Amino acid sequence: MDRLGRASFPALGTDAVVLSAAPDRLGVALDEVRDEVAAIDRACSRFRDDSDLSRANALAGGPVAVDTLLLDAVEVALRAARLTDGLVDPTVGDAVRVLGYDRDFAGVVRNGPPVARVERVPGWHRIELDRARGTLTVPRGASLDLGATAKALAADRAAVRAAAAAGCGVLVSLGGDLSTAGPAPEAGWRVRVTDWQGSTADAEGQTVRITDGGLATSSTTVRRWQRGGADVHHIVDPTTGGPAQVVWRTVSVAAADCVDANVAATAAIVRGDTAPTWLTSIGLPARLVHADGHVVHVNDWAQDAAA
Amino acid sequence: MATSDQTRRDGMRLVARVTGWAAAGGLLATGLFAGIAAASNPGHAKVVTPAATSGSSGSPATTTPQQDQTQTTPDDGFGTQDPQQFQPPQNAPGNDGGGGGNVVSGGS
Repeated sequence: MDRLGRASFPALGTDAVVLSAAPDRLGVALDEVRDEVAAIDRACSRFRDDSDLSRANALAGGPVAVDTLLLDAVEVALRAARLTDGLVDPTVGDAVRVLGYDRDFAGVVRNGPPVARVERVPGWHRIELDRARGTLTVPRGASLDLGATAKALAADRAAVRAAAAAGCGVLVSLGGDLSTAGPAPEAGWRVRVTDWQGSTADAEGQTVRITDGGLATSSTTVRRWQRGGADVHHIVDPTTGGPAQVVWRTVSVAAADCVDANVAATAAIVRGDTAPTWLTSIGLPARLVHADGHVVHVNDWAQDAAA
Repeated sequence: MATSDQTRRDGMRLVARVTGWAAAGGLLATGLFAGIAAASNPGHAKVVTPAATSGSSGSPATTTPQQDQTQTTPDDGFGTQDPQQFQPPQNAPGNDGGGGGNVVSGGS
């Protein structure tokens, strides 16, 4: 069994976990991860009034000079929207807010009165991004939410930085969105895939070994609250402006990086019944847990041990 | 004869009027169809990169609709290689045979 360095700290409204293949290099890796996560938070958080994203949202309708990091993050979000035919759309900000997710999740009122619903999200194609001038234009009447991509992007960037600085393999987890960089431990990185990232490592699920790339899990069982007695969760279907229909409890996807894994996992939740076919077509290994508990594996994702 | 000339002139006026209305209608229809097409196929978000900017500093950026050419990653070694497609890992997740993991991946 490989001996790994391990540390964790609160970040981005969840927990960051850093593993290093060389235990004595953990401190170096950890410093890099902290820096990268803090930078993403300053640029991309919709819960911080002083973030570049909050400024751009507040001044929607006109170009706003923003940090290059936010431009990078928005480009990643636009690519996600294209690859998913708009099912992962950064302009769901208002839809999520109207549903009640209007602050860091720890502060979201868990049981509130009925809410209206945004009938149709403004659409990602209306975002304007000008690299030459360093400006972002959020569509008038819209607000961006980079929740489906920014955390994964942070994990990817942090893992690369940490592995380069530490000179060893590193795994970074931000709220269960995992990215690896550098040589994996001999036995690979052992990951427990389950419904909630705050679970213990023996929670119901599957333990897999990964050697490269990223792995992300999206779930309709977490970040849930109630409005008017009805259950609401955080994954919005842009075509309805409401929470995605709960066909899958949890979808885990592996990809070359965490961004692709997380985008595909989120889109799969929104797609519902057609998710396995779609995941097969895009070639990403995945494990889907149906609302009734049965498990579907796609593209060489190993079968569960008990299956 | 006079009646014939008058009839011809009236006919010509009618043809000119009909032609004018047809041309105006054509222009209106073209605009209408263009509007419908733009609304139904909105294309891509506008992304302007420095490479798309011509002229010296201070010159207006050339705004070009992004036609699947977004550069999603800087040259720092992370991210996907092909912005047009999802990229799979080199190795699919293999079964560990049970027990706990070094880390948990779950919804958050």
